[in-house]
Amino acid sequence: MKQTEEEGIKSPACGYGLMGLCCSSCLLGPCRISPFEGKSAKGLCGDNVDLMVAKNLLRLVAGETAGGLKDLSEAVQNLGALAVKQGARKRPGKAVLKGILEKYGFTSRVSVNRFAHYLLRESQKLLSPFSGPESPSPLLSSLYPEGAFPHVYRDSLLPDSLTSLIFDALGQEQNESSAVEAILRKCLKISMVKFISEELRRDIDYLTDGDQSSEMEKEALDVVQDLPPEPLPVVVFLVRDDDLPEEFMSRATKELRQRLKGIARLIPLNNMRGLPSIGRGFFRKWSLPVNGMSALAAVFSQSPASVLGALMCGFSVVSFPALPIHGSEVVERFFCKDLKEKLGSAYVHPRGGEVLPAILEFLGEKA
Amino acid sequence: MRIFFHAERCMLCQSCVLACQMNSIGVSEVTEIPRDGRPLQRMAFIFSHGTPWVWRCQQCLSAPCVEACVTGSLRHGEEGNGVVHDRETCVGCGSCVLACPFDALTPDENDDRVTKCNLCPEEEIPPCVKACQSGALAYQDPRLFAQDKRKKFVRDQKVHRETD
Repeated sequence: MKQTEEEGIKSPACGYGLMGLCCSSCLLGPCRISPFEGKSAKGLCGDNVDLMVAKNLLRLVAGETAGGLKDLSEAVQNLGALAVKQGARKRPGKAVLKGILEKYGFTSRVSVNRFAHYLLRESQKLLSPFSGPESPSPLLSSLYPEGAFPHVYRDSLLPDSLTSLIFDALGQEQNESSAVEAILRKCLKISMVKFISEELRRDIDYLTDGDQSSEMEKEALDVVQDLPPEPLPVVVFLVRDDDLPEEFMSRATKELRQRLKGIARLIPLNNMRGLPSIGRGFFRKWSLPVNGMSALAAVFSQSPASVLGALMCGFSVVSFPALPIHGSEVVERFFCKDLKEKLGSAYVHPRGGEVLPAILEFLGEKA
Repeated sequence: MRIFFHAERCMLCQSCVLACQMNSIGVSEVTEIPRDGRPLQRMAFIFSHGTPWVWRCQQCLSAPCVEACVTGSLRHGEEGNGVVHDRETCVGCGSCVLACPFDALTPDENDDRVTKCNLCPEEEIPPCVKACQSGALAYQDPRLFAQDKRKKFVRDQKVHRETD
């Protein structure tokens, strides 16, 4: 590889990896199963294509979420240190602070210190791997109110502890085909942990450092506020901050807005963390859960956890690059069909890597 | 032009084989691969005495398969550009399969014909070469390839002399 780097050869994407058919879970591999080999093909460890694709996805999602949890635990430690000193380092802006307080069920009369202590206590409980399954944490009930996200309560998808799920995922040893759906459900739950930890961290950072991303979320919510009183199809266009350049975002937004004119309202969002807020905003505006309306998230991100997290927020999702699931018929059917029946939203596979035709197909329009 | 294989660069990723299979069923993106797709076997990945080897047609200058072909489906390409196989006139008699010293022709499972690497004349660069992530497969003029090889040999000798 060093030689190719020196010669300036750009590596094309690995086809097996894009389909989830490249497994390096043991030292005997990597095993690659050809998509043309048929259902009987197995890796060296005995995993068939369905298990290989499902486990690969779980590893990707768990690894990414674990990184997010580390950031959250650091933010909680910062908050703890500040709570001892009785005060925030920077005075948070009133408008954004009011929005954060309301989100967690507090009125603006509550002092910042009292709120910080509450946030600290509940976040520590959520981060503990020994949290019990008694009832959903009040933090989670605030972030994912039952009215806006009924599916996560109906299918018990809210986690009890943010960290125990990751331990569980890393220690999984299921080798039976029947375990595929269990693994995929775990992927969904863990992706939700990523969104929860990112939103919590952002709010904590705002209290401690006056982090600007909460203000960006407010801008997105203002767009929701400006929507007409009657529900209409919505496409949330998401680009993860560090994945694609700014000019791509503005050019693509312009093109999409033109194409979707009169068909659906486009909400550009350059931060994944704002998606649950948009869901809550829809519920406040139209009293409809996200999965009860025609809402699609077009996600441009390398992160499978973000794609699955958007699904868990009730949005149907189309992504670029596509989720690495095409290698298994069972896994693809789970995300593209079964979830539609269970959650009311599903993954829309962008055939040929084309996102716009997939968006138009979802909205019932011709490409 | 020919496809050359540098075994020392191969990472065993088999992306070349996948790209060749996708090309044979007319698919350019992995997300478009049909569940019941039956690709042609024009190249494969094997180990020969512990060394990775991409098994494919060697495009011989003096090709026994061309001489063995009873229908003239196999012929030398223009300006010595490989051995071309015309699937339309092939009757699948298998004479070429018996004659080939590299076992590079295979009966097509989809119909009663034979298939082999045709260097994908419709493409500027064959898909297998495009997909190769380490540069193990190269699509080059044989004369240039030989020239590069000689230059590399001289360079290596020079380095050896200097280090000695």
